[in-house]
Amino acid sequence: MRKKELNIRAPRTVEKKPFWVRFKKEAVFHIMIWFGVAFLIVFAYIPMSGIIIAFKDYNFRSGIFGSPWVGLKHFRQLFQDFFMGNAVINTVGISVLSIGLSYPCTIIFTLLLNELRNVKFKRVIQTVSYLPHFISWAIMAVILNSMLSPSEGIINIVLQNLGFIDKPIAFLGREDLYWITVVVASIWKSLGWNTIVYLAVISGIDESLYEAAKIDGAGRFARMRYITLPALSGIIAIMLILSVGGIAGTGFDTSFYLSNDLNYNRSNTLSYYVYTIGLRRANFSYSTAISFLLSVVSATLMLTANTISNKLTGKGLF
Amino acid sequence: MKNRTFLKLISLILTLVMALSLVAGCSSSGKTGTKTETKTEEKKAETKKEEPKKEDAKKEEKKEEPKKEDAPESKDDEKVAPPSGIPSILKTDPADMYWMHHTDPITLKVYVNTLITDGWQWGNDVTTKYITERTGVNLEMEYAPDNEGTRLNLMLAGGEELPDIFHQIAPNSPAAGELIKGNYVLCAEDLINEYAPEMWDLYSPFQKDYAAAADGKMWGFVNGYEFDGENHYGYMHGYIGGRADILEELGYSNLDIKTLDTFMTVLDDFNKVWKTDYPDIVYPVLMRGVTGQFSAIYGQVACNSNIRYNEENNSCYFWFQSEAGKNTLKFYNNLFHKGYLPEEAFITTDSSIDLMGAGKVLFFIAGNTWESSSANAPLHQNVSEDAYFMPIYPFSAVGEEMMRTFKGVTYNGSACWVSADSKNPDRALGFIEYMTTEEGILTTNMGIYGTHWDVTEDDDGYLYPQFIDEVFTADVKVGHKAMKDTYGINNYEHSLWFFHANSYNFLWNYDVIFRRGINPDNLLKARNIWYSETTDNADLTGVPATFAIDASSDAGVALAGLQDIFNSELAKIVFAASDAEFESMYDNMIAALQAAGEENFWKLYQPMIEEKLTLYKAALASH
Repeated sequence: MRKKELNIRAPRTVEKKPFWVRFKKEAVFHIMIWFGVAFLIVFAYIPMSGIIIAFKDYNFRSGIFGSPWVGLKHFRQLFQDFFMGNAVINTVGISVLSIGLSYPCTIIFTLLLNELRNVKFKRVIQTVSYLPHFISWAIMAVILNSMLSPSEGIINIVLQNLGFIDKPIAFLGREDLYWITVVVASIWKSLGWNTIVYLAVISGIDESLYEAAKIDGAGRFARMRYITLPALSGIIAIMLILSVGGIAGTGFDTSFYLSNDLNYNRSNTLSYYVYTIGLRRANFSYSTAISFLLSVVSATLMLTANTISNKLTGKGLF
Repeated sequence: MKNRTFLKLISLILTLVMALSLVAGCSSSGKTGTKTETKTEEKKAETKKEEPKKEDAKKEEKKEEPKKEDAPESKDDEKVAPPSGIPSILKTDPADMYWMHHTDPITLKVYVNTLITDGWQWGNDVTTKYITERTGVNLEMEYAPDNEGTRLNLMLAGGEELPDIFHQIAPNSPAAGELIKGNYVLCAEDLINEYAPEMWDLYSPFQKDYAAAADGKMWGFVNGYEFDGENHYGYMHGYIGGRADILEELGYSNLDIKTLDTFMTVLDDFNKVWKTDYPDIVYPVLMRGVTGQFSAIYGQVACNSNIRYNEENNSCYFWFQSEAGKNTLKFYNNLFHKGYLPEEAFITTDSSIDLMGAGKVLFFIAGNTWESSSANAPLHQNVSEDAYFMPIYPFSAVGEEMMRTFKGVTYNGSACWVSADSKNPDRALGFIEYMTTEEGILTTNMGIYGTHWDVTEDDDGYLYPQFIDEVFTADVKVGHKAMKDTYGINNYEHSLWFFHANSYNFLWNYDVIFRRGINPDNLLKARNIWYSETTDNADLTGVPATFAIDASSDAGVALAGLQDIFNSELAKIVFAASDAEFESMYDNMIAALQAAGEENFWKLYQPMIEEKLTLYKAALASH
């Protein structure tokens, strides 16, 4: 039987074009991506060589390469540092509290937003909830100081007038209230903005699933529970992994602007401590040693979270 | 298709813009650390080479002993600045000085390690213009973006070209140690010897001994002050400033408050009418941080250091570790319990001057209450022209012990430093020399002689400068900032920075207080009380305040850690809810300090203080 009669065509072989032809065709994309790559190399990878000052007694004049080697001196110092343990506890505490509270809040708020049927109202709510994200922590600190002021703050006035408290509370001066105060403030600041990524995923869910569920008698809550939430599980896992990876860097802005002598034992986070040791006290070697350890811990945490997520949900970053 | 190409193009342009914006901050700041180092070395070599020549030249000049009237006459017809014509008040400046011979126009860059946000620049006002006219030096100021020294650290770490002069860097700060250790600055002592030996006459005889760094040399032009028995205008404010108008309304004078009991009685009386008559007062007592200077009232020596030296048993301790220190903490705690010292004072981000200027403060406790008198101008504007702060001198001067800085030059103020990168270190030196003269100090503080101020005599027969009427009354009328912009006075941007080891340290505030309508009799009485106390102080107990510990040394790192602990713990102890909690928190703090290696720190510290004691005792004996 002839090939023609059988109407069978020979598979088309894709002719591989020469490299320069392909490059020319993709030149625009190459230019775009190489800027990004160059940026990463210049600003992220090359500076990594500076890590060696963690093993040196860095001084300005001798520079990174000229300063004398001291081996693990700064790492030993790190384990003897009185405030190190304190900074670790604060960082982990604020992070766990933040993750533990902000995720449920964000997801619930996203689901509620998604259920709003009045489009105009939904847009208004979204815009209003996004706004605090654009307020810098410097401004936010002034707002918080003003709102939480024991003498003139609106929060204390309201609480007193409602009879919840007898005398004003110095929220930012109480160690036991510092974590929750900054976490609540952070949630307020980022709640709306954080919903964007979840809403984007929700908008990609096939409408037919909701219609089928509706025909099967599923109510709004059931649709949310059995369609929306499972669809969000992937992004929730990814966001959680990323958050866990960022634990070590938590709390700099809040500590920088809201730390004071009264709350220092609860506001001194690792990133703030690195700043204090490095930029304020100019002990760059020691601060680099802390940062180096932080990076290792961050990477370990992220990989651990990724592995756990892969095992539990089958979803992860890699 | 066209549309896709267009989109590609737009994307490409946006990518380029983004890429460019990423490197927008990277300017060609010039040299690397290595280059700077080479240059410094070269400069040092040059200086060394020239040293014999210049020394000889100077010796010859010294031999000639140019007289005041001869000064303008110069061998090579150079333009020489004439004498100021200002009558001598406290000291006579040398007739012939280095700066006088070098008045060609030049601009020097100055980095000021203090946050200044009002946009003031050198040359904005008549006074700084006048100084530029006299010296030929124009200054280009760069101010720190914060008060934490981060800009300086980055400047050094980044290998930037350094300015000609660094200013507002305390000689006992870690930053000063870095400047010296890294050869970022030229040695002040060498510069003076090389270019302007007559400058030593402007300083106290103690200056060189007391301003010496670890290597025994004077690297910075240190702002010091001296209690030598000759100075009738070098007085301290004490540690408490009070709203004199409110005190008067309550039936007190600032001079009535001589004991802690009276202080508390005044507060109790105030409390009776606080909410009705003075609802704007939020802080009956405002205190920012817990420091030990006030512990003098309980019999402890006060100095600007957390460390105290016990001469009897040759040991050191932190100020709060003595009975007097603990009593001070209890006193603060009592103020808190009575509602006079709100926690908010330790939390608010508002500056003390803003709070005082807004009329929210009755008493202000600080290391030095110059700040409270500085709040008078905004207070006049925000509250009433009759409202003003005045130091409560006798209260801080009561008893034998108080601010007992030992006889000599203190070493804990600010300082300026000539950078090793300066292309004109001699002109930088000349400018500093001018600012150290009586003319420089008076001009920078009072303005232009004859235009802004004149010389008058007080009741004791001592001369002192006094503003002419127009300037005398202008402050109340035009306000603090306008005074600064118009007359160039009321100007922290330079008036406090260029004080150098002389008898005028507090002259500025002295006159400002007069000018703001405070009873001069009270002020004079207070000054005299203070003055008599500060001259009897040969026991060297203030030594810990006079020298720096290298922050990167083991002792420096240990001290920073200990300070972190007690700064935080002391604040909480002050606000303890009960006596039991106070005691428990205090014990915990002491235990925490021990756990953090306090004992080890004292072992490192003791040899340092012994070395200084030996030096200072020798200096006292020789002068």
